[in-house]
Amino acid sequence: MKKRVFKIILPAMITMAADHALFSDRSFAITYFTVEQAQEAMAPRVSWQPLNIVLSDEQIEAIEELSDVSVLNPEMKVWISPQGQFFIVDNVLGKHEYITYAVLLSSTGSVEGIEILDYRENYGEEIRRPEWRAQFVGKNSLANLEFEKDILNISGATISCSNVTKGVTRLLATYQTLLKDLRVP
Amino acid sequence: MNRRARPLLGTIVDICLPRAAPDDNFAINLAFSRIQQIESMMSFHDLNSDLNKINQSAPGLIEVHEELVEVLQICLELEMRSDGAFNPNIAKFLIAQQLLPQRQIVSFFRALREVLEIVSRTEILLKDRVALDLGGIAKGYAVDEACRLLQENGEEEGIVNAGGDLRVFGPSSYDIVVRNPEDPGQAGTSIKLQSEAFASSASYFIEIGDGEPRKSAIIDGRSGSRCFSNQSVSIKASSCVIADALTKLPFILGESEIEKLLEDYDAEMFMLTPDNLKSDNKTI
Repeated sequence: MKKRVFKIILPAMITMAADHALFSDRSFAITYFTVEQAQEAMAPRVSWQPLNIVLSDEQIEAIEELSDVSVLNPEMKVWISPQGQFFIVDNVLGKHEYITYAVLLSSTGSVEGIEILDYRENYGEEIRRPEWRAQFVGKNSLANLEFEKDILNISGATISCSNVTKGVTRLLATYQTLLKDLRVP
Repeated sequence: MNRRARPLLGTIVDICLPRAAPDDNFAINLAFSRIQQIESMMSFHDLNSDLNKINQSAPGLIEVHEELVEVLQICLELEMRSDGAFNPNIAKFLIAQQLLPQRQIVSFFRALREVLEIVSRTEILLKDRVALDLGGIAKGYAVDEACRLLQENGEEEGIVNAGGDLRVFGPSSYDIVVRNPEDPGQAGTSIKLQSEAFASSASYFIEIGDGEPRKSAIIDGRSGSRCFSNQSVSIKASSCVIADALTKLPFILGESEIEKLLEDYDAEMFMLTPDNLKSDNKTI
């Protein structure tokens, strides 16, 4: 009879390609899209104008009240289109994962798309430190090629997207609080 | 390579097409839409889902989407082959354990086959009230559907990974790294897949009440008891819906029962056990 049960005692010998960057320093990162690639994929041929928005204390309070989610960064990365759509790039920090994602809002504030731009995870303490997170700010996809040489596929304890979902809730409250009254400059 | 990810199915779903082609984004968009559609149909959280239409119905004939009927058909077969250990009619236990949101549940705990019959591609007959949760199988089904959509749209090679429940299609083989259940930031082992599916579960990662979202709990479909183990179990099978469903059962069933199931579904099981602990299955 064919053997179907395989018992592996950990730690096991890992027989993977030597240049797998997986889990070095118990962290791993993948860049899916740059901002420009995401804009093009999510809203083809739309011309985006960046808005310089720094949330005031009153605005933060209103957003947190409306969404029941904390605002960690008053600086927003948001663009507006001639048709009044919004493209927002936001970050969320989970227990082990730091995720940068983009949300496309219609001109009436409904979610038309969500895409992950960068996914980073770390099981050490570093994830909470700004310096660790800062290494990924502004990184373009070329710099992450070393992780993508071998296509990395992971199975095991499930990552949750609940932090991204909460982030989107916060961004919808941000739309209600101030974005909906903005027009193309 | 074209690789994209979206938050779906309660996790991050990653679609990877190793050889980039001009129409990739179109195909990937379709695959993500399909996943979203299946998620809506089978969601316990969404009160308007097809699943909750069944959960809220009095006994009688009910019309639902054919995808849901297909999944229920798979559930009935799994229930039969696992002697009841796999039973999706266990939402009330998950609610009691705070793993699902509070709902009014009007049902007695019964085997699925006693209360539900498939009448046609889009109709089921409910013989009693039910409280179904498809958390143990819907993700796998969605992954299979995403792969099907990608292939239908001309993609010859790809990987769809829904937070560790994954399927690869095409001629290439891929290394799947399974997390060490004791230290998820470390690799535990690596398994090669070619045109196959894979799913993992490790029951002791469930965290409740500290703001962490619920993860699937493993409920014995015969008793409603919750099962724990200090091991991580992965299943390799030809479809992700089966891999997803089977990956829970080694926490409930004994080895000879599991071997029979693996034989029935032509699947393989990988158990990762920490070296310093003997395998320890507990039922609460």
